[in-house]
Amino acid sequence: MVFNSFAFLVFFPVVTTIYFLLPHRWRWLHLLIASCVFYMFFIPIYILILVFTIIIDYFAGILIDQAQGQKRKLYLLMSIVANVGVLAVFKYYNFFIDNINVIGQWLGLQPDLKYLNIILPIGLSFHTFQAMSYTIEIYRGNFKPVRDFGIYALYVMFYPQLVAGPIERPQNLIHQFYEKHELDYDRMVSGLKMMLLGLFMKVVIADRLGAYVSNVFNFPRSHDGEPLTFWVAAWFFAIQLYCDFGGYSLIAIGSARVMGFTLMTNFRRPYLGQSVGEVWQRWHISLTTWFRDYVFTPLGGYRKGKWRGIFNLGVLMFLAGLWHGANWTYVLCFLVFFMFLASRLILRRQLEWFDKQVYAIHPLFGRIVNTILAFHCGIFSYVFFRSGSVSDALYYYSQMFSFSSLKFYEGDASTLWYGIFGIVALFALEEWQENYAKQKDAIFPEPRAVWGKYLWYATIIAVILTLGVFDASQFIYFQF
Amino acid sequence: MQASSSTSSSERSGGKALRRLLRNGLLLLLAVVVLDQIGGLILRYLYFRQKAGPNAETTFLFSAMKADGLILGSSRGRRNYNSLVLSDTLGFRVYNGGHDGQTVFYELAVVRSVLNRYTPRLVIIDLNPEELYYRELHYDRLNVLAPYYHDYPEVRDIYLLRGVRDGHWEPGSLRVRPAKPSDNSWDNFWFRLHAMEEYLIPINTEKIKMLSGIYPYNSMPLDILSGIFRKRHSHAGFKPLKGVISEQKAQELIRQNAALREQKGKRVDKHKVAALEEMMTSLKSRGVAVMVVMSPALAPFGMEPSYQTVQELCARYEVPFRDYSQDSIYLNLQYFYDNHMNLEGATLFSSQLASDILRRYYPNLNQHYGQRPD
Repeated sequence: MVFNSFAFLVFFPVVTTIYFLLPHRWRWLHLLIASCVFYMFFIPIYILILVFTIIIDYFAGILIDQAQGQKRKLYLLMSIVANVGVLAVFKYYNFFIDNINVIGQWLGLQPDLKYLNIILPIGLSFHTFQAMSYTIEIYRGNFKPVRDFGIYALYVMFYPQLVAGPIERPQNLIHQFYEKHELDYDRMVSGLKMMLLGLFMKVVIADRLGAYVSNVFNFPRSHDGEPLTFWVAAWFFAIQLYCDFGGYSLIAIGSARVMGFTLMTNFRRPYLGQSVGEVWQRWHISLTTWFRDYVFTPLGGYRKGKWRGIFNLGVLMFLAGLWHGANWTYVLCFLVFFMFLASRLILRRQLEWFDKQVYAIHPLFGRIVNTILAFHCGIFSYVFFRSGSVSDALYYYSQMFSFSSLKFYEGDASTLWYGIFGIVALFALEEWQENYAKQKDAIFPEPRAVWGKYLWYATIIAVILTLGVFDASQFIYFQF
Repeated sequence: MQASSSTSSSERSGGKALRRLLRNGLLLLLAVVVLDQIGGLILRYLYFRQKAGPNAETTFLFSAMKADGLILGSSRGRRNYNSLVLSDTLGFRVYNGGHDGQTVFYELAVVRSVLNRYTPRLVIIDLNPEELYYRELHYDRLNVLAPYYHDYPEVRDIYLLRGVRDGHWEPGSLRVRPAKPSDNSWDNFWFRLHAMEEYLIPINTEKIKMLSGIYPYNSMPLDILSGIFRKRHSHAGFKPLKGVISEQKAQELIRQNAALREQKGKRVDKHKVAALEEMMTSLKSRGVAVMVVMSPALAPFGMEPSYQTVQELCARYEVPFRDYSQDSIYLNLQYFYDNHMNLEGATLFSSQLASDILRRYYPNLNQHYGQRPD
């Protein structure tokens, strides 16, 4: 089920109302059933994959906790192999075969290995990583396994974050299923505001810009000799990606919040970051911290010197790229981003000098320059992310820097202007949230008068109705 | 301090919070409904005051156009047929009612509204060989009919197909029976996601969405504003393109088109077939000379099930069918802007089409209906 669908418009209030009407002891079961329904809107049979990993990790958790010495490691390894195995079969098998076939052809062989004709289960990488964090945390002694099978199943399947995160940790989420959540007006309203902003980001900005982006990225050679078109499409894609995934995350966090649950923040206004490192820290936080805690830090992080730290970062970025999809374009996207992050470490002194110079002109000027530079580091990597193949991406880069003419593909002019309206509104809002809001977690600025508040939120809804895209749209990150 | 903490704790109590939530929720809902209806009225007022642009063209076609000859089609219809040339040769006024991005659904809406008002002499339906395949996009694009939903009853059930897609329904009913997933649906990652929604909530949601005042004008405000302030420059509906496609772009277009043809899972859309059948039968029953034409295309099309369906329908309803899409005379970049013809190409093609109509298909077109002044 997608959040911007009519089905969710029915599903969400029904599930939430029943949740609060039920006695506390039955609420977990209700949420578990609702989560199953939510997941089974896609391919119902795929719920068996979830059942498989849930059973494995539930018992692995208990066994790890009870075992001593090497056995703990063995049980953890079994759990990881099972989870990664599911990913390998459903997500990476065809990618692997593809590469074997190509290498075989280079070597003059004809391997012709067969592909699996399967559709990737929705949100597979998200719930697999969430399940893995459970057994890893138990192995590290940070968390005691839950004995209630239903609660553990709900931890993996909790519908708001089931298919596209945030990827939660057991310490943050599981205890919340045992707590009784009273109907809290302020909490509900703040959750609904988050959902409203998420919907705005998704249907007014992401889906609107998507039309332009698809036209250019899907048919780059049709725009030959229009460098400006390639730049605009790259800018738009960066914002589309953020609004698509960030919008989804906000709806997920908001819908959980309405029921009294707190999920971790997944995006913290990434494009207001003033360095490429800051953008990285604000982007898909639940995944980047997952890799930090379970890959980067165990490898030694930055503790073993600068160059070893850079190597560890490279490993992290390689795996993060592979996590996103079974295609070298994703890996290259993250390796380009890695180059920017690494150069920030290598050229630290020079960059500090540069920062000093631009901030000396005027603090605001320094901020704008650095924000624009950081944003463009993202853009260069996203070209790989969105391109269908490595050769398409290379062609795209060559066109961006061809400077051959000022010709520009307008597409549907209203698409451009609605998209630009949405972008300006969002960044004004984010600037307010970041620097001017009195409350740290405020979502929207509001008029003081009560009637003004009603009018304000009714206007936002009317704007979404007027400028939103309500065709059968998709969330980019569902496929990861 | 104590008083404030006791107030806050009492506010958190379930009953009070629920009452507050219901009261404020209802007030917000009321504000949304009022704003939506007022916004809808304003947009409706402005929409029907447009003088130029595609919306104004549609309103004109639905309410005022009375040309004897009518061309229906997508952007290819609009760009490839020079209605002025056709008028000159045929001897009566021909209007080009093509609309960018549209397909037989829009054309059926035009046919219905035209036949409600008058009987034209000739209707040319431009189709491309892949026209009758099922495409989600073609249902999305039915949104151009939304502003006419309330005032033009003949358009209503065509618009509502947007909520039916490849499912089944009885016009007028709220219930939609979803399509059975076919084997090739597995090729489409998104297919099942939406199909399940259709199974669990088998209703035509468009019918509910049309209760909104604003929704019918979704994504239209800028078009409406530009339509109000722009001047109408109409060549009887014909929208000529000026310029010639480059060799490189032509090759890229041909390559893209070939890739599109290789897409799997294409199936003939039963709603489109029904729409085309209704156009043919209703026009023929009123004595209108109907013709189905495939205009010249730069990128070659293939003989496919969609194409064969068009041929079969034309044979069944005795509608002349002529495929110019790969006529060698037009296989020249000089006649194309992109995959659409430029002014020179459209003029050449329209001149040949007009003479073919009079020579081969409807030689008595003028005599039969009598000469009528423009």
